[in-house]
Formats: sequence, structure tokens, C-alpha cells
Amino acid sequence: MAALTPAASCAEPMLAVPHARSGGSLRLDGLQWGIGTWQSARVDLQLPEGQTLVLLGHNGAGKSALLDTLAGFLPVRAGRVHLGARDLTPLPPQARRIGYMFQRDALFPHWSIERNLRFGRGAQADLDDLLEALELRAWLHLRPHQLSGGQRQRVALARALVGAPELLLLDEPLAAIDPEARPALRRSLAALLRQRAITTVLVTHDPNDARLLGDLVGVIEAGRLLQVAAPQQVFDRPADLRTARLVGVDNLWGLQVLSTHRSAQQTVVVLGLDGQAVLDWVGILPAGIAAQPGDRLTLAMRAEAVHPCPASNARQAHAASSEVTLSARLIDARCEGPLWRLRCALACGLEVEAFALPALWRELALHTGEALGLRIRQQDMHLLT
Amino acid sequence: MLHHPARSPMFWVFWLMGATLLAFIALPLLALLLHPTLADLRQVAEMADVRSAIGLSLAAALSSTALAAVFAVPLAYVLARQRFAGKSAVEALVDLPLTIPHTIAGIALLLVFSRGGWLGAPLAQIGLEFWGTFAGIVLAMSYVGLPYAVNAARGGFEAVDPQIERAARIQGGGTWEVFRRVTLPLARQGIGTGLTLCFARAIGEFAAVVLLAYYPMTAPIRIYDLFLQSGLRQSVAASVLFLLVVLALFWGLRLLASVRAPRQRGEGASAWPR
Repeated sequence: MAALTPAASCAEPMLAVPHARSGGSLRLDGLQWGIGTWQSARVDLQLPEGQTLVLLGHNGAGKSALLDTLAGFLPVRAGRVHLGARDLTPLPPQARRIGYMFQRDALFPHWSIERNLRFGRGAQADLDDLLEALELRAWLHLRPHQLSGGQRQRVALARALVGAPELLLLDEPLAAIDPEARPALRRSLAALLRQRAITTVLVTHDPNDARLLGDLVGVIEAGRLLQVAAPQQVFDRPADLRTARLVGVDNLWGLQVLSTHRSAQQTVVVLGLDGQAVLDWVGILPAGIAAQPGDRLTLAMRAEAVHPCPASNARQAHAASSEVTLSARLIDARCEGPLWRLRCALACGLEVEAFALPALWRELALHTGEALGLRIRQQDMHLLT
Repeated sequence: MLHHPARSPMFWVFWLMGATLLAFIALPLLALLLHPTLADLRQVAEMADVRSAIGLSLAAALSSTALAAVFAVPLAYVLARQRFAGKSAVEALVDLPLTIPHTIAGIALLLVFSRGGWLGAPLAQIGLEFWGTFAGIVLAMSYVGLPYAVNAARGGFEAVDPQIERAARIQGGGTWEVFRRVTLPLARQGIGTGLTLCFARAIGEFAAVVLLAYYPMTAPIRIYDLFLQSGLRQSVAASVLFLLVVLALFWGLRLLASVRAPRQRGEGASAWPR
């Protein structure tokens, strides 16, 4: 198992000496890709040089097909792919200078690890840095079948990085790794990406990968790029309901606008269910949302933005307050790694997901059916159409 | 003490049925091998025409196997990797020699490759004749052996993960280099099986060969000839001699294949349901 979890000590020094070499920014001009009869929408995108774009989406969203198109394995249906000053569109895969780590390791099973790394671009490359960074030296003379799944993935990563590719494509790089080894390898990968500063496109369906590895996160569904922004922006302020679902926003409440009024520079929207007020939303209305009485809107908030507190604290905050505290009852609670996930119900019937640190959970000493308060900052509640 | 898990009744029933099949295969060969005396064997081994017939069979079968390597392997790769209109028709065409009686195959080959045949006539003008020649024997053997080579090699190529080939391409390998250094070595077990089956089918072919080239005599034709001329005794001895040569060759090939075959992940693990 030690081989699956490279020591954090090896990741840190790598940050100190960035290689800072890459082939320029990746630009998609109206790119349309597809397999068989399926094809994507046309996409325009610019990924700055040395940055990592994480594409997040469910299986079948077209993420891997996009990588195969960028690599030249699938023909471009429309548009062009530029990497720096080079137009990659007409080039065959071997001429694109791309490193590609596949979901399955795709190592050459009939060769030693060293020969795997020495194929093609790696023939003349200096392997020392990579061998050190990914702790591969001990396995150089072994065959892939002699390594564990995690070890093979690390070799596959090294092979993708060998010979200074100008663009790095990573297809679910951590999917085949044991769950307990995944965080360590994720950290190593993040350090490597920062150190090498290679323009990178990584696809995943794991939001944790997106948060830690992405300079930009793109949310993709059925071949449509729903939102591209910094990770914080995408996760905290998803552009629409579909994006919110894809990035795993836990609380999505369908509510009705009961009334709207202005307070100082902000708008106060009274939201309710079946004509009964649930809470007051205070803020600047997002573009495209008018919030007229009678409109149906979705209020989105992540579970980590909902803070449980004793029931005595529960009170409906007045409109000017920067937070609201709602009364709820506990439905159930379960431990998810370092946090407790609480499922609660408001008096109106809405269900709320919230997280509590173990210390708070012990302090609250709640049992199923008991009352508690849920404190939510106004800036963590977002209106979606 | 080693503890062996109990086998299910299904295991023993299946083994019994399998053993019946194995006995069916082995008994006639055993009867054949035990029939001639050493003196009979020595006598036919000293017959120059028998030795040359066996040599001719080996040479022609090897030539048809070489042809299979050149023509069947590329077609196998195309069938394994490409989807195209009419693919099922191509597959059916490849399998056709397996389904038609070989006498009919021989007659059909005659119509095309005899001196007056569609291709035989123009090829004769450049000195390539098939009627009663070594080339004709190779042609007939290839016709019946090629489907085995194509199908088994195709299986070998299909067993190679296309992602591995893609990895080689994106690492900078050209299409020919990737095929030569990655695909071909990984598919070699299937290709080897295909070529071995092709060789086996070719060396034993009688009907198609006898129609296109009775002379020079291959081993199966010479054995038949001995049977007609001298009865069972000499033909059995010649059969055993031919069989021993062929079996020695196949065991050698199998040994070579098992030594050189790359180990697959999980190989050797028992998958019998308990």
C-alpha cells in the first residue's frame, strides 16, 4: 500500500522548482465532436497556458470523447483546436505532442516499465525528475502486470508526462485507484501539475478532483458546456439548476416568490411554499431573474453552508440580517469521513442537508426527531431559474 | 495437509463428457500408431517417393502458411479494428472455404487457376502455372487454410486493448511503428494459433490438392496412392510416419508458443463455479 501513497514529503519539494514549460494556451473555436450519431454542441473555450481545466460531468456527457478529439483519435465534426500558435486540427495524434493518461492505464504489457517510458517521445527524455517525483525507480525493470492498479496508474501518469508534452489530457486519472489511496495521489497529481505548468485538460465525475486539481472547472452535460469558471465559482455559484445538480449542490428547494421589496442596495425576496413564507432571501438578484410575485425559483445551497445549532437559537432573522436561522427536526445523521451529514426537515416539509464537525455533533447531542436550528448565511444561498 | 475444496457434481459430469470426447479423438490415432511394425515403418521410410512426398507436404504447407502471414494477418487486423459497410459479407466470404466441401473447392480453383481458367491463362503467360505444380499445391492448401488464419489472428487482434495502441500513437509512434512494436507482439498468440491451424489444415489437405495437382504427390495423396496400389499395410505405415513428423512439428510449435507467450493478468486462476 505504501507504493500507492507517495509520501507528502516528495510532493512538497516539487512545488519549489517549477519547470514552467508548456506549449501555450488551448483554444477551441466552435469545436464540435462526436461518436457515431451522437455529437456535441459547438464549444468555444480558451484555457490559458499552464492551467488545468477540469471537466466535470456524468458518464456519457461526452468528456472522454472530447479528450479523444483533442488527441486526434476522433475526427473534429466542426471548428478547430489550437494549441498556442499551432492548429492541431489536421495533425495525426503522434504529431500533436500531447500526453494522454487513459482511464485504464493502457501500459504496454509486453515491456518493462522503463521501456514503457522510453517509447516514442520518451526515447531521449531525461526520466530522473519523473522517477523521483512519482517514486518509480524501484519498478523500472518490472512488467506492468507485476504492479498494483495504483502503481500502474502512476506509471501511466509518468508516461503521459515524459518528453515534455505541450498539452496533457487526463481521463479519470484517479478512478482506478483504491478509495483510501486516492487523496494522496490526488495531492501528488496537483503538485505535479503545478510544478510542470503544462496546459492540462482533466475529465472526472468526482467533484473532489475538480476542486483540488482545477484552475478552471467546466461542467459538461450531453455535449454541452454548461459553465466554465474557477472552482469556487462553479461549486458555490452554479450557473443553473442542471449545473447545480452536476456539481452536487445538496439543497435545491423549489420555492415560490411571495413578495419582493428593496432594502438599501439589495432586494429582499420572500420565498415560500404553498403560500406560507419559508425565508427571506436578501441580495442582488442574478441576471435573468426578475423574482416577480408568483414566480417559481430554486434556492440552492451546499450542505457545508448549512450550520446546525441548538434549537434555542432558531429564529427567523429579519430582512436586513446577513443570515437566517431556520427551525428544523432531525431525520437522520450519518458519518461521512470527517464530518456528520444531517438530514433535517423544516416545518413546511422541505428537507435540508447539513454538515456538522464531530465536536459540534457531540455537543448538540441530538436524536432523531429532535428540534435543532439551521443557520445559513445569505451569501451562501443562490437563486436559480 | 493441503485441503482441496469439494468439486460440484456438475464438475464430474462435465469431465466425464469431456473424457468421452478425448477418447474419441485419441483411440483411432492410438490404433493407427500401434498397427504397423517397426519393419513396416523402416520400409516406407526408405521409400524415396514417400520421403519426398512428406517433404513436399511440409514445404507446401509452410509456403501456404507464409502466404497466410502476408495476406491473412492484415485482413484479420482490418476485421478486428474497422467497422464498414458490408463487413458481415466479408466475414461470410472468409468463412466460405470452411463451409464448402473441399472437392468443390478444388473444382472451383481449377476453373480459375487451370491453364484455361480466368486467372490461370494470363498467369501462365508469365510462367506461373498451377496445374500439377508446387504452386498449385500451395494454392489449394491456402484456400482451405486461410480462414483459420484470418479468424484466429482476428481474435488475437481483438484481444489487444485499442487503448494501448492509442497510447503508443499519442506517445509519438507512427501507425506502422505501433503496429510492428505494439499490436503485433501483443496479438502474436492469436496470430500464432491462426498460422498453426492454417498449417495443420494445409498439410493434411487432400481433396482440393488432388484436383489441382495430383502430381507432384503430397503425403496424403501418396498415402492414398499406396492404399490403392499396395493395400492397407504400407499406407498405414506411411500414415504413421507422416503423423509422427507432423505431431513432432506441432508439439515443437506449441512448446515454443507456451514459452514465448506473454503472461496475462489473472492467468491460471480457476474460475470454476463452486
